[in-house]
Amino acid sequence: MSSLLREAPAILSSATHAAPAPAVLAEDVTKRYGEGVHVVDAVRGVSLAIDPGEIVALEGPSGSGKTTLLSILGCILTPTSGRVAIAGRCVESAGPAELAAVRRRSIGFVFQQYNLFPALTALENVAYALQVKGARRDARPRAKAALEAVGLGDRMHFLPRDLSGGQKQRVALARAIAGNPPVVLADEPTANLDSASARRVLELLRQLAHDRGHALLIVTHDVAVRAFADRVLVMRDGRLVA
Amino acid sequence: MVDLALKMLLHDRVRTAITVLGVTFAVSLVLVQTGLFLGAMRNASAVIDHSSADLWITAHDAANVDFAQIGPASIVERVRAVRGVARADNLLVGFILISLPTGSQEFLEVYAMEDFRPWGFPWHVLEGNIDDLRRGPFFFLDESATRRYGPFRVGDIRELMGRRFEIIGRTAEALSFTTTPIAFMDIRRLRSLQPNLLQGQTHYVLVRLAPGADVEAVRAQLRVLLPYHDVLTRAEWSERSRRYWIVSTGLGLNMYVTVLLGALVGVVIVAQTLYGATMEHLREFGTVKAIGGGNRDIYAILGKQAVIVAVVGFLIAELSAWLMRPTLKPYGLTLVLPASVHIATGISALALCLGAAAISFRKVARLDPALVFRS
Ligand SMILES: Nc1ncnc2c1ncn2[C@@H]1O[C@H](COP(=O)(O)OP(=O)(O)OP(=O)(O)O)[C@@H](O)[C@H]1O
Ligand SMILES: [Mg+2]
Repeated sequence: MSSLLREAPAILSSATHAAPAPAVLAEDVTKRYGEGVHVVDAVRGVSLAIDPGEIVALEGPSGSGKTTLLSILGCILTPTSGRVAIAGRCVESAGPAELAAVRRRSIGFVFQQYNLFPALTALENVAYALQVKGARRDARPRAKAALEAVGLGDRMHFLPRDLSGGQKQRVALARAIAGNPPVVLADEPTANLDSASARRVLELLRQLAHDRGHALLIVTHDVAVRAFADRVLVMRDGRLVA
Repeated sequence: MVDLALKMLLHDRVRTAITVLGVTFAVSLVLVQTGLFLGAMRNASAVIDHSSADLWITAHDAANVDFAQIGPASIVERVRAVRGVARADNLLVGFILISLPTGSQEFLEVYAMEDFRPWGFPWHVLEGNIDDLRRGPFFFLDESATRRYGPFRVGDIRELMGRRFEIIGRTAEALSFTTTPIAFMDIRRLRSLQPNLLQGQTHYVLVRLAPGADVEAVRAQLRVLLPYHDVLTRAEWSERSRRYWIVSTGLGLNMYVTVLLGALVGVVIVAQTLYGATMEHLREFGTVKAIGGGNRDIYAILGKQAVIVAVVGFLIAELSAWLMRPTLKPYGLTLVLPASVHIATGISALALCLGAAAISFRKVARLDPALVFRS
């Protein structure tokens, strides 16, 4: 595993290599919060790999470190130790600007709280994200296509406050996949939704990941997610136990 | 392009309105105070600035053009004899009583000369021929007198110091800091109204230099000749008259304090609302970071909002200052606002709003992007 990680870029650039390079790679990742007596070891030596198009569910009790691990894989937090490669790029020692660049190019997020911009319509929310990712004139048509892909073609000009929870999460999903990132990370995307809306969102997630080849990691408490995942990981006390 | 900065402002209508009004309040206060101050200052030296005299000979330490001190009129002969002097004339500036049709009496500030024309007085004649003043008990009255004396027309008769005079002309822009209306009259007429005080006396001697004459050389000769007088250039005398009012009335201090307080209140309102808005939108800024934006993208949003608020607030203030002009006019108040004041105020408003926004920058820079995962 260790050698695989260090060679990750080489593997990616090598056309002769048979196996597809993993989109997400973590090796012996740890994260320690705080100092002195308040130290919390939220993640303790996690290693994992997720291939393009693969859907992985990450389960575990509250406080087991799921969100922390997702933040590290999403280049929002830097690990205390260990190695991380996203789409073949090692990021564990990257600076804030480089991390932002990786997030821009390679990662789409879906949050439990949706985190849509309340002042922007569904279309503008998606288009704005594309703009941040460097799109210009084509931001709106691409946003439109992404919203159509999540079945919200008729809600493009609605503000988030006029959308249901499920619709908001589908807008967030459209925003996450619009830039076609190799990696999509979702933290409890269905926790605030009723079961019908949750199923709709999960089906969309699975379909998009499989069709478009996003590596998808879903952090969840929801047992329903298991059925949609290709693989289930379980975390306990900062460690992967399954 | 999706303009998140603008959309956020439009979304938070009430807050944006308060911020804009904060700017408007500060800018209006600065514009009106500065405009009134400069207006009063323009009046304070209007007569001097419009005269074509190169030098003014005044009593020693004369304070300002309205509060004239008397001296022997004969010095004008000695002034005329100085080499480099092309022309010199006496000017009397007297306060006399005028009886109004209502029966009440008011003060009138009278400028009296033998011949006004060579000195460019009065500089804005609406009606009448200034040369006719010599022909009888006549005077010109400035139209601004309407406010104090009621309406008047050429041909009207008024009693000045108990004697009948006819208004034979109207002028405009002849204003003084004292707001006493200004009239123009032949010098002999004025002397005859106050013979004890003014016979053989003058307040000022106006001097025009011969072409090519050196101001300082002429001035030096005049000083030797008139050791108990001041010999001032037009600019010096104008400056001294204005300074007198600034200092003696505390007007200057008043203006600075108001401008400062206005700006301060504006800054506090704007800083407070912009900072509050940033705090309320931290999650959104965290989201901007999560989707790949950097601090700079967020600074750009905050900066743009500050610029929009500054520009809109400034324009509304300019509009209200402009609309205020007709309201002020009946009170004899004018806003004098040269381009430099507009530019300086606009730039200050912009700088202050950007400064207020910059207070939030630190908060944004320290923003923990992991907050997007919190519920
Ligand atoms: N910024 C922080 N500073 C200190 N400790 C933190 C911080 N963030 C998380 N922790 C701690 O790290 C541990 C793991 O937290 P994390 O949020 O990753 O768990 P989680 O598995 O996502 O839990 P949940 O299912 O409740 O969302 C917890 O004990 C938490 O208190
Ligand atoms: Mg969590």
